[in-house]
Amino acid sequence: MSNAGFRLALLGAAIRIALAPFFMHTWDIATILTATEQFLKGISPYQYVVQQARSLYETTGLPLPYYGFAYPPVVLYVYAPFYALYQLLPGGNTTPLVGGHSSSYTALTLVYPQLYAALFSIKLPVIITDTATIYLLHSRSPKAAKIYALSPYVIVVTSIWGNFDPLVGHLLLLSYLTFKNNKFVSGLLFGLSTMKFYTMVCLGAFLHRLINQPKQLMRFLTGFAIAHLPTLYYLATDTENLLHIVAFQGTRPINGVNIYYSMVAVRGLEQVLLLTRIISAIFVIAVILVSVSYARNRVELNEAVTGLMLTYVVFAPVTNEQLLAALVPIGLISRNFSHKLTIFPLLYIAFNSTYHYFTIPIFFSSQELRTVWESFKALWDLMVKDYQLQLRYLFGVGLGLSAFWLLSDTKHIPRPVSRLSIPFKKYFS
Amino acid sequence: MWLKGINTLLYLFILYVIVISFTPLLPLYGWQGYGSAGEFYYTGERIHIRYNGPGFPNDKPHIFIADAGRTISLLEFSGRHSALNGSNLYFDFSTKTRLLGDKLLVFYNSPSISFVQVVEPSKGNVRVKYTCNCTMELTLTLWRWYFSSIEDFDRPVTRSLKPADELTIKVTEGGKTYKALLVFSPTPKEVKISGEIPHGLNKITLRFIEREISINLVLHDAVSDAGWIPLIDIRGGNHLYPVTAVVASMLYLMIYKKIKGF
Repeated sequence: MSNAGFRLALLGAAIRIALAPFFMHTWDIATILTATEQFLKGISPYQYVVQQARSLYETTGLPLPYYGFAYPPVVLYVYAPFYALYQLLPGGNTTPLVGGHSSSYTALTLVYPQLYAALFSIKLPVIITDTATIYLLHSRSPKAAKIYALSPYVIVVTSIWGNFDPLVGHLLLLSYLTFKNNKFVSGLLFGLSTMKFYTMVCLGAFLHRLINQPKQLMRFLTGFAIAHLPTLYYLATDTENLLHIVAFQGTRPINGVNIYYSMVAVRGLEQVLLLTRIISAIFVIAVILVSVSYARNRVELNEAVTGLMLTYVVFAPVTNEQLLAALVPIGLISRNFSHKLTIFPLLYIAFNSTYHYFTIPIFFSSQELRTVWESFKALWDLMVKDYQLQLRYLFGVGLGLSAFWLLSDTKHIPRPVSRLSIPFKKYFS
Repeated sequence: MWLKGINTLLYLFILYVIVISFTPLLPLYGWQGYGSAGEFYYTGERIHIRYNGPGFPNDKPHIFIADAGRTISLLEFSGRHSALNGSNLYFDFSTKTRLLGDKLLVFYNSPSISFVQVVEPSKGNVRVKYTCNCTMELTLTLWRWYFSSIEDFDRPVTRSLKPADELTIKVTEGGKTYKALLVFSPTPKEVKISGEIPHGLNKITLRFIEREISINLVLHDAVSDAGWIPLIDIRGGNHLYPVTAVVASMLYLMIYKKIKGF
């Protein structure tokens, strides 16, 4: 075990732990807490989301999407033990956040100090995997590990926002590292990484290497299928609601930090959905073309995975700000990636979610602080109101063009000759 | 030609980015449902309107002026600070919204009374109508951060105005002053204006007692106070999207060419 790697991993963990209890993306944390709580009570979170969507339809007469828990159920198995841990603490029987999907001015209720404990608990699984990512990266590239450990972007997503894209990135990295020696474990880890559907674009990078090895292909696919046993269970027992979620993810309107952001100014759900369908078709074609091109040019697995994730960043209709966190771990050990890409989502966040939105747990703890927060928010809104959409678009274009540059460079990279260095190799072979 | 040597794929991608950037300029008019919160948006030639979803107390509705591709806030009807017979319009009612032609109908659910708000835009005006099946006491608050004047008053002093059928409001943005007339039917029982020191007036409070109440906002032509400045003022305009795409793409190509050495 490398001492330097261990020390760096501890430093990365310490930074993340210190920030975790005091910040949150209220909407997303509310989504995770609600779904996990329902899961622990034996209630289907998918049923709840579908009910909310129906209620929205009943209220407006329009088929508007409801942005609730829309991930495969494996996510719930990750969060449930940590939320159960919170529930064991004194006062843990209280729901720490109510009304997170409504106006923060009128409907949001936060319970202190339980909120801090809940935020820490719910972010802990991602902090643990971030720590493991740092250690894994260090064994291959100390520089990459240092970048990851201290990356403002990754820290924002893990500890300030509280989303789980870095966990997806960790699983994708592990899947790559284990692919050479254990196809079953690699398939299992890749399957787990699809807890956010977007990593599915990388499937071609794995499959084309196995197409002439039926046994290895079966091992990989068996691992993938086992990772999705919870999905299969819900598919059997809660078919309609789960399919609603899949349909939602497949058809949700254009948004995020991408070249399509200008389309948010197109008014009309029907028009936006039509444009989304056209763009989705272009995106699917791009993924197929890039996969085939990588297969023909025998691009290294890590670079093929990175390139396909970059294809997602460039062409997918919805690319949330946190998405790059899933690409950073494997990207840092690939030559067709630059950590500088993360500057774009970091800037975008300032004009979309906004950084003061993340400070709600601190500033809503007393009326005086809340007044300060509301005054600052009013001032910020006033300052940026004339430009915020256009600035978001500018950062989306910046990310799209930069990612396209890296993407178009991939094919020129000659095949490397170095062998992989896999930490804990004996456990995987 | 300075672009010589840049590959076809890159050209196609740049073209793709630029074509997409023009989509906000598609001439789409009328009411549209939008967003996960159940928001409605009306796009007209001179007026835009946002009506917020049921989870939000503000913008019920919010009226904007459309001027040279920009939207300028003119007036917001608040749900949070308005009341029907003493019951708060946001906190004490749930609502259902429906589009009926050019009208947006908002049904306030109550076991004892039937109360409906109708938002009806046309070219240069917006009529907001409230109908109740009994005589109601309706207190409405209308907001703007900040009005440049209400009637002839511009200082943020709380004062009661003599109730009248009309009220003139002015807002200034980007060197232009926009004037609108609020026409009431019936005449409100009370009209009060107030503001925030040192910024200006930001609130109009109206009290009506009637079964049917209508507020018609009529937009007047804007007056430019700053000569040529408004001509180059493109803040918040949809034209900025293609401008951004073209400028970013050109810069990108220049950097690409320099680094790649074509």
